[in-house]
Amino acid sequence: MARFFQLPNFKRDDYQRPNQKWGCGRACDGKGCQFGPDAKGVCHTTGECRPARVGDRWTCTRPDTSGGPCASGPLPSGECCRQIGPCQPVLSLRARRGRWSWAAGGLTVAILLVLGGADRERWADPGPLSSAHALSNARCSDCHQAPPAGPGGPGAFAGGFAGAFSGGRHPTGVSCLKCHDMGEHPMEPHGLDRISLTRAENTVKPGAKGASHSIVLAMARIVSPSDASRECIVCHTEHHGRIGKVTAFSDKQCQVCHVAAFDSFSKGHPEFSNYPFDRRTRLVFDHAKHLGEHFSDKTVAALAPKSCDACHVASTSGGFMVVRSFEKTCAACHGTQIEGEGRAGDKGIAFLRIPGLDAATLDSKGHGVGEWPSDADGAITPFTRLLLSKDKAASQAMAALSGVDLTDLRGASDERLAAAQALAWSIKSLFADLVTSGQDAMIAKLGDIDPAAERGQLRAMTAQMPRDGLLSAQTAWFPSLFTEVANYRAGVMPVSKMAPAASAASPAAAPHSAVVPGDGDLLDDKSPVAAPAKPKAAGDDILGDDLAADAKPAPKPVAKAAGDDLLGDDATPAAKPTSKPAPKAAKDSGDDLIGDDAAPAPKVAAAAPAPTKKIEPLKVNDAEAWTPAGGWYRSADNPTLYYRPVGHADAFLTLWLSASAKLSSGPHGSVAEPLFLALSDAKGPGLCMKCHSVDRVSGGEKVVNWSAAGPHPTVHEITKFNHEAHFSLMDQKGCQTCHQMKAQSAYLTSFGDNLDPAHFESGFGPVVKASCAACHNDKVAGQSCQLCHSYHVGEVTAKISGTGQMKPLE
Amino acid sequence: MDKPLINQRRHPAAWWIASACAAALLVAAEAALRAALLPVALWTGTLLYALVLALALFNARKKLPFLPLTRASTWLRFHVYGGWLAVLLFFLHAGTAWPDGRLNQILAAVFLLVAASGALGLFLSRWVPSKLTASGEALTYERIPEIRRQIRTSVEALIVAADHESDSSTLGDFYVNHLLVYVNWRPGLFALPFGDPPLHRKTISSLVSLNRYFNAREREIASELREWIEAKRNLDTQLVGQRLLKLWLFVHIPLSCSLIILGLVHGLVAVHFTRGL
Repeated sequence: MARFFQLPNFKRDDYQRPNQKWGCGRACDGKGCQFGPDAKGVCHTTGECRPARVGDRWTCTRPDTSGGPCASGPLPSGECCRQIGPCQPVLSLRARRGRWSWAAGGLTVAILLVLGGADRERWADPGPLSSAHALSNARCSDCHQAPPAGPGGPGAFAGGFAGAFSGGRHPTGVSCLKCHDMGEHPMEPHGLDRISLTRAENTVKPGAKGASHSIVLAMARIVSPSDASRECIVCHTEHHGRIGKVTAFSDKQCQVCHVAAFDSFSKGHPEFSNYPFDRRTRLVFDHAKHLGEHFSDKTVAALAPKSCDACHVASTSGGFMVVRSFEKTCAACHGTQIEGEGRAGDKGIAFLRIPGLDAATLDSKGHGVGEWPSDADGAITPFTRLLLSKDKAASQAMAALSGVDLTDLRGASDERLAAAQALAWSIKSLFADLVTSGQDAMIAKLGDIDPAAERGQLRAMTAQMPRDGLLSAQTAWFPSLFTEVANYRAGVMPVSKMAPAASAASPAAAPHSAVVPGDGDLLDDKSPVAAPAKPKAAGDDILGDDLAADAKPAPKPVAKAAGDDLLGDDATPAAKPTSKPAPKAAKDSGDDLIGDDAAPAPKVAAAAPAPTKKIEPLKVNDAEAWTPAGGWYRSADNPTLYYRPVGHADAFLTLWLSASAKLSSGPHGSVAEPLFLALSDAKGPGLCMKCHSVDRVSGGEKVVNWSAAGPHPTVHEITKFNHEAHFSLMDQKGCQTCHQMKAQSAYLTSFGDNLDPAHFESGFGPVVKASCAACHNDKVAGQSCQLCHSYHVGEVTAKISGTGQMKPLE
Repeated sequence: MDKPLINQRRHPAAWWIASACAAALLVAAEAALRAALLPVALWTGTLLYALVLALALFNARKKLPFLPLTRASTWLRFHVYGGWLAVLLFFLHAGTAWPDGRLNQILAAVFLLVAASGALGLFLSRWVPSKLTASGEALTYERIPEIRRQIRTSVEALIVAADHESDSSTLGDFYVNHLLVYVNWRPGLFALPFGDPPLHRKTISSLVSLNRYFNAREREIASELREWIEAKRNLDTQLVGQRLLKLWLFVHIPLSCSLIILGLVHGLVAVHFTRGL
């Protein structure tokens, strides 16, 4: 028979009080007292019962569970006769558990109080920073900003707590920017301004095939804040250990903002529309034409490159295919073309030309211009126009003379004659400045035109213009230049032999009405009016001592027709100012640089016995032919100073092209534009524009692309690709595995008059997405967004710490 | 009495389905918040802390039985399923990697201990009652000392009766050598309610082996002694089982108090260094 104990038996069983905090200490032995301790755990028991007074007698109240009333009964004092000592009450399990809980809570608070002391930052630190930021965690405040200023109290706390959930701005981003220069819009998506972002959004076509149906993405788009600005720490989470990846970014995080959402690169990524071409090439090079036509020409086949890497090489980082230098690529075929070989026209560029001018008419009508080379022909060069652009009189004159043939002014109005006179004197004045002040004059004038230009650039634009060359040109063209210009600037005009005295009062001459005809001694230095003599007045020492004291140029009469020698015959005593005809040999030499002083052949020949065979004297080469390596020379045909390009990347050409391109959109555009057009003629000297394209950039300014595209170490592109890492994956088609050349394309139409680099036709087809997706999928090479795309776009650099002050260390 | 939100008996899978849906929603919401570049750690952390506080209210609810706060069984269900969701939230919040910060390590350890003790308690509350039911009469834990005393008194009375009613001292010797030890024996603190204790089997074995020496009266008394020995075995099983059902709470509840305090401090520190409060 089973024993059951739970059946209620009030005579046998004690009454249990498990809900009370304290229990009888004797209960653990199975026999607790009937009273138990009080609520505070104190036992007041003294006997087995507490006798009850019934009338005048005490009665035992011991319960049946303890044996019932005892035989002895209570003592007369009313105490139980069966005395027992008080027990040690015990806590109930529940109460004991409560004490444990309080103890655990108290211990936790105590530990936190201890840890919250001076070492609290170390304990609160959620973990080591990544190795890149490891040195920044000396103090939390290095990165974590102080609370924003404002009223304190519970309201501020609640506001701050709520703000923490908004994902909006909080001050920690400022800490990042102390070391990282993320451009002008560091908190904006991709670091781009809103205009660029909107433009980018508009180029994306939503709802493309393979659009993502991810529920998570749909939810994320709903909860994503409309303000797209993000703090750095939203993406760059720290305190994940030394090797923690700070830049981890999931594909979904990219997709939340992007207009067209898709699942992966292989599933849903749009086809490449024109990748990698987002603009035309900077250098004009038609691959198809070269490979299809030129390289098959037997005459140059040996020079043609055999593979792509003959011209292209991976950059140091491997990410960019740069074009090798000109010398290693194009020079083999085009080097001599640039130097002028085979060129029909001038090999040099006319820099300064004395334009053709009807000086006789001007002179006859009282608008004397002094000496003017009789062989002057042609128009003012664009260079001269630009250099004269700051000369108000010249500018007005050029405007007034627009369309006027300066070589025939017989029917010109008096105003135009005056303008022609003013222009002539401006040209002579400019020339005089160049001759007397040299390169500094040109640097100063160019500096006035383009104050933003660097001095080094201006110096280079002079192309080391030689002093002797200018002096000889002056001697040949304007023997009395210095006197004439000095007089002109002093207000003294040359007296026209044919002009009546009254002509001095003509409107054009009015400013110089102080001209007083001298006593006929035009060379008299003592005369206050030192009017130059008529150039053709042979035998007159029209320059007198002024020239002799200066460069001692021989005022060789124009009639000698040997005026374009650079040195002239002034260095030869025999060639003292005289009207004596120059030796025949010298006359024939034309524009020789040395002149007849360096050619004693006639004298030697005259002194030597007559040879049996006629010996031809030595001849000086034509000036243009004399300077095949480039430099300055003077033409034999007309008073023009030329510059012949040295070769590829000639500094003179490149700098003048760049400067004129830049100035053509400014206030000097009317004079800079013709210069740019003249220099940029695809068939002009140097042939620069045959290969170098011109872009019109923001603001309308034109920029010449002197270099092919190349990597910029601090600029992050939105798409990145490592060419070097893919070299081994190409098949027998080589680079055309990805870059397929178009057999027929309108590549060359992208250039010419088109200055917008965004409007173009590529010579290659876009890279096909399938060729990438063959490897870039989940199974092979991965396809995360960040594999090919950078988040931060544009100039991203690290700031250099310190004050930046340059001073010696103490 | 309030009608329970979900009738567990009528819809036994309802809690599971509701919990699974809540878990799926949590996972999706966490992924969405993370994708939306929102401060997902703050959101999950706050939700986790709020859930822990709600789970802790279960203990308070037990102390306030007079309040109409739905059934205690509903609270228990919520505590159990909410606890599993809290574990899920914890891993969504902290990830699966062990944290690096010291405070975070302590907090994670305490949370995991609370969760583990809760899971142990859940297991014990499912497993032990069946063992206790199989063992025999269910006893009130607080009455076990008294019942033990009753068993001892009854056994002694039988032995005295046997000594008086028979000439043999076999039962007396048995009591002195075996039964007295067993009657006074108490299971260890961490004993488990697995099968019969060895001392019990030994005592029974000894009694059975003496059976051939007993006379008729002794056999009757021995039979009664065996019933008391079985009662003692049941008593020990009830003690071990019920003690287990109470002991795990000595880990779960105190650590929960620490968890609430540590979680509050962790949250304040996190918000402070995120927002600069």
